[in-house]
Amino acid sequence: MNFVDWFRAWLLAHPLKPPAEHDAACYTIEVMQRVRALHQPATRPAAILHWLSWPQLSFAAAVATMAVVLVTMVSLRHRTFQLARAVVQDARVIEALDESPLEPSTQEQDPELLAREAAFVDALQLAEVQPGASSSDEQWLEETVQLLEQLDEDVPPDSSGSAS
Amino acid sequence: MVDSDVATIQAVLRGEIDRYAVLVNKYQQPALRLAFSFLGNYEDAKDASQDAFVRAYQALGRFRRDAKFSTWFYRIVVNICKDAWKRRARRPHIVAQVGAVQCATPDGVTMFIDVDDPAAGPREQLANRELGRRLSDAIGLLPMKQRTAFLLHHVHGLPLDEVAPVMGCRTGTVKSHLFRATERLRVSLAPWIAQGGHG
Repeated sequence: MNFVDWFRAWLLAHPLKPPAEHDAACYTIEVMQRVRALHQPATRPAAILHWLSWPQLSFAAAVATMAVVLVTMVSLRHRTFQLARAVVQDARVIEALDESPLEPSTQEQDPELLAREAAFVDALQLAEVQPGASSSDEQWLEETVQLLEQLDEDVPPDSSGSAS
Repeated sequence: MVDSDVATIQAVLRGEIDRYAVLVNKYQQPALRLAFSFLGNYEDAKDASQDAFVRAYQALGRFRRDAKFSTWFYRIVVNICKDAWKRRARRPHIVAQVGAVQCATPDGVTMFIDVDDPAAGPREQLANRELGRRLSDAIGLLPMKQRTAFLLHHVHGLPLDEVAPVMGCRTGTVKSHLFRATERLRVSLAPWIAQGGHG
């Protein structure tokens, strides 16, 4: 007897049996429940409503988002107009008062102090002049001494006390 | 028998859904055993065979009247079992088991080949149990196509011209798979058979 014949004989002597815990009636009921569930009408409307509901929800969300964006843009534009109008009004007020806040005021300075500063600048410019430009060194020295004396006279006694 | 299946299918397609229970009652045992031989687990086999019945119901309109319902349905069962096998990505612990229900393994795998033979002596029962264990290991090591052909033809008794449409190949290809599977099993079981264990 070859292997195949022996094996077939062995299987014929020991036929297959289903597992002992198998319940044929319960098995059929479970399958038929799943088959009937494919035809239940309640499932279709629920599924259709499920698919119909999401565009409505998306549309509502889109409308709300557009409204928020619109309100934000309008409020920003309104505030910008208000700010521009206030700037224009302030400029008109400044123009009416004839004030120039960007230029420094020279009228508030002391005239004596300005004269002294001008004399000091002249003395410095004269001192920086080249010696060869005058007729002679002696004349240049005399003029310098005179200028220095004049400066000593212009300087108040409080500031020259420490030098003497 | 085929005509009765066709009449039942026509009734179901006309809207008599409850008539489908006739087909479920008729084919649940072979479907369950076929799935069990692939998956080696009762719960998995039950789920797979029930899925096959539901899928067959959904595709009942595409069933050709000139074919056998059993062949068409077994092909669905085999395809579902192959998918379940790939998803599980592990071998069954036992493909075939010899012995009484009390011999179930601790992980809950129940018997596949019930050879609780009261007429056999203790020595013969022991030999059959050992053969079942070795056979389970050997079948589990076969490639899927060889295993499918071997189980459908030798274990479930389907003729070759019915195994071919179930596997979706020619009869000659089925013969080739069967020859290779038999050779592998012969080599695997040769030491045990040489010792005279098969009685």
